[in-house]
Amino acid sequence: MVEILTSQVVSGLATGCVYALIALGFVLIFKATDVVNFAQGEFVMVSGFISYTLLIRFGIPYWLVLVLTIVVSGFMGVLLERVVVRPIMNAPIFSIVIATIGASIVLRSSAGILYGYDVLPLPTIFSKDPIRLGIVSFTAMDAGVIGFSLVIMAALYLFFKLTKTGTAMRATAQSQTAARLMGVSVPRIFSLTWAISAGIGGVAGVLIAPIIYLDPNLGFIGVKAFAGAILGGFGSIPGAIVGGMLLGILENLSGYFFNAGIKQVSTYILLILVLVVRPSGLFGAAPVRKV
Amino acid sequence: MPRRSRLGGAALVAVAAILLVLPNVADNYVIYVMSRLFVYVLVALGLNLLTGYTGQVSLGHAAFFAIGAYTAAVLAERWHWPSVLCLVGAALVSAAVGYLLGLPCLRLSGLYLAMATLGFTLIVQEMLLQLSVITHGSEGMKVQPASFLGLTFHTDYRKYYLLFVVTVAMLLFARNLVKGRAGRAFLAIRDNERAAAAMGVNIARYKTIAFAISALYTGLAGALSAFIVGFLDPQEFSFFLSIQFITIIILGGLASLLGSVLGACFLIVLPELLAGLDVWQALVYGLIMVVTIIFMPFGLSGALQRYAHRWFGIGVEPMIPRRLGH
Amino acid sequence: MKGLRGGAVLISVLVGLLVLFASGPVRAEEGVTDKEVVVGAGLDLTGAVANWGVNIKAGMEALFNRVNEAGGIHGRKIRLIAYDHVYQPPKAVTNAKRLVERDHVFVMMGHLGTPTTKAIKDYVEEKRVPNIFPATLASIWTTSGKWHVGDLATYADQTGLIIDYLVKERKIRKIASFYQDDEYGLDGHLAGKSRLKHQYDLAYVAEVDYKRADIDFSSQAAKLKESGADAVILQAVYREPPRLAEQCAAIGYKPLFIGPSPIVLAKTIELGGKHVEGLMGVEVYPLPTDPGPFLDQYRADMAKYAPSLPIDTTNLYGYQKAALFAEALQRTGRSLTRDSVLRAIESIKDWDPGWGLKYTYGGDNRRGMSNAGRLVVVKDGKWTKASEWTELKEVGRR
Repeated sequence: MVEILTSQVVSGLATGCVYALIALGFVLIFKATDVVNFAQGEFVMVSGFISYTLLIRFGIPYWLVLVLTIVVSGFMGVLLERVVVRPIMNAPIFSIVIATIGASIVLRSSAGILYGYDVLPLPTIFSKDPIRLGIVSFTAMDAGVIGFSLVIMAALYLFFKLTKTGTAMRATAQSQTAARLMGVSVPRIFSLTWAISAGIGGVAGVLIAPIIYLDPNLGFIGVKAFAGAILGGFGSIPGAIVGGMLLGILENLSGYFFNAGIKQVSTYILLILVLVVRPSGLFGAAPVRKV
Repeated sequence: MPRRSRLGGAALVAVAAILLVLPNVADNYVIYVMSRLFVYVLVALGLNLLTGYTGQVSLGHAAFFAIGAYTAAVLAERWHWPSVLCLVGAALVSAAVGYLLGLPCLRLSGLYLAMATLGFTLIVQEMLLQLSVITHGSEGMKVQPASFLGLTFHTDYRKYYLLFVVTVAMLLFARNLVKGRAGRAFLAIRDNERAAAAMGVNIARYKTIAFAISALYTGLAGALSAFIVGFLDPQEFSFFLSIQFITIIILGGLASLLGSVLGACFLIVLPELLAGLDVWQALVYGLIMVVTIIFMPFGLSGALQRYAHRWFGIGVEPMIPRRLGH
Repeated sequence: MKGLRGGAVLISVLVGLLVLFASGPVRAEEGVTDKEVVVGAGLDLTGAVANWGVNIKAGMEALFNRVNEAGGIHGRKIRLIAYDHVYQPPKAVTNAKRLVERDHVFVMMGHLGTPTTKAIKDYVEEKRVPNIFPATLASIWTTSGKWHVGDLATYADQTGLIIDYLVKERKIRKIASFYQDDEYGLDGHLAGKSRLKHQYDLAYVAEVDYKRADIDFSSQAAKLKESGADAVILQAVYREPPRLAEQCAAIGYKPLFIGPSPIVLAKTIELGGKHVEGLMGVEVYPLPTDPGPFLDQYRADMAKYAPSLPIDTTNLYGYQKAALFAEALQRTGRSLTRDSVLRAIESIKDWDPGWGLKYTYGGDNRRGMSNAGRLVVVKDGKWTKASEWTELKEVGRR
């Protein structure tokens, strides 16, 4: 029993890490620009297809594909920002959200037209064979996903903490005006934020596609990640990460004890309960009420 | 401004006349599409009252739509209530649920509110499946056409008029609401909650009232939809539907009754016009959406207002606060 | 509200446009002219089961194109009009109305999806438009009366075959059911439950469900393992068995997996690799890679008219519907009405289009064209036959 539960937790953690990465993408853009990017899930989907094309159609080796995917996704993020978001930067937030929704529809249907709706398996270097470590059994795939996600998160943490650009991004997130006064090119930071966000989405895509198979409707995973980000506290990066991981684990555990339907809503029930007690999520700061 | 009000009044009469006569010249398909349009106008009115006017983001309206639809259907099937009472019952149940949801949501704002209401949508959708004893679960539920005073609304023709009448009535009610004290309270809450409270507006009361009325409209729309489509399936009341509702009011224009109408047109009529495009339909639709919002960031009604102001000197330049509920 | 007044002008313009688009041509025909027959299909082309929709359409079009190029049937070409309902019932209704009232289709063919087809059921009956060979193998279509004709063996009947095979031939009595928690999955699941009870006085040792887009089945795998089931019946499509098998293997559980036709795709093997070795299924028509004149023709037509799509069970599914319809048109003759085409369909008996499987109209109580099924198993990475074609018995859901 314990054995089964621990393996549930581990595989839940693997999915949770992917949620966490996607949630991270949401939060980064939100912190810097106040925009909720509804196309984040589609970034994941598109990068999945990009890596598929590179890997299968062009036969490029796996690690190079990973790097290229991140780069191409980054470009896609910048493109979206420039074309769709930048022109309406000063419009009401809701309008920008609609623009991202429209973009997500465009991305999804384009993928459908280009690749069809058939499900595509994305090969991975991690094998799906089981490994046993004491009472816990999991797959190399799970371990790989968790490990890789943690590496990316650590890299991002260091980037934000230690590099000049990272600091500039943090400054912009706190106060655009102040950052500007300090000589930061805010438009450039925006583009960079979107690039990084899309790049993270790219990593998430490469990690999750072998598990859940590629198809144009894959972007709907973004909703779950969004929930995870809210659970953890949308304005907080560690919150997004913890929220995403918690979501993955919780989903699995409730799937074990209840049926599929309850499994799906248990997370939302928990979410609502958490929000009632802590309206800004587990780690979110209470919103500053500007008078 | 006599010129404007005469123009506006005349146009309104013209529109009403065309809509009244339409079913006699158009085929069933068009009539049916228009009926669905009226349903969505009702939803948009409701959602706009909550999100556009009061500034409470809700992604939970698919749930109210579902609650209204299933309540009416169950009342009709199980207890054989007359259709009018089914509609009233559905609207009231939905309003009650809206009120109850509004209570815990008082503490939430912005994204958190959006997420909580989204969670509500998903929970309600799942409950529809779990409570299959009364909802028929995933099998789906057939709904017999509405009837009133011995007249059965089973043809598209009659359904259209039923919806037309109800929609116009609810539109007028919304107009009165918005122009009156409640409307001003809503806007005050949206623009600056602290200031509104300082001015004596009972925030909690108006927010929950907004939720209730909003839910009432959407529930009523759901009930009507049940009667005109004739078949309910839980999987259509998804978060995706909630997103569509929000899209309607943003594209149409927040805090604008006209916007609700225009937004519904966009969502219902545009896909029909694109139907022949096959697989390209969704892509073109998405592109139009993006282009529309880029050129009309205040929505279709906002653009109208802007051009009415710039070209004809009518009204004012549209202004909506940038941040809603943050 | 200022906006309401001022914008009424815009509304009247819009409504004017609507009236324009509203006044479509009004004809008295029923989708039949001297030169053509119009067939309508409501499919999911971009939504949850878009893969099926796109392929079914391609399969139907491939056959129709070939037939048309040869001059049509009795001088009439066949035109297919398909609209996308994205698996949403209200949209399916709208599309059905467009097909019937605007496009004046002769029949509705291959309508995809159980909830979506249910939503249009009353409408097509009211309009007296035959709903033939809907792309859903739920049992409702074979028992709904004159205007509906199914084509292949239903999920319910297929599950009956599976149960019989497991209990009688493999002597397995601990059977679990893994099913999609919607109308599609329930059809087979409940039928299996009923057959176990009424025929063998048994029950499932575990009933584990999942939601359509679920990606992780580790909890289901755990529950199945705990139940000790020796066989698990999968009411799923090609996406789930690979993942489930994988996750069961990860916890050291290797039962016999078996399920109805939607899992019998080459894709399942492609996705599952070695984990699906030994997976069994029921097929209700031959594999697209089998030999034979009909399948050769199918492969040629697909290569010519839909070269971008790989040959696959999903488009063969659409293709065989079209073939049935073409045969019915052939039998009806030059004078074509909805009644006469329905009678032609009902007259089909022991008709083999050239692939070894015969179509026979099942009779008024079981309005389908074929009740045959065959067990198949994944052996060495390919689907191989594991039994001969058998007539499936009718299994109810209660």
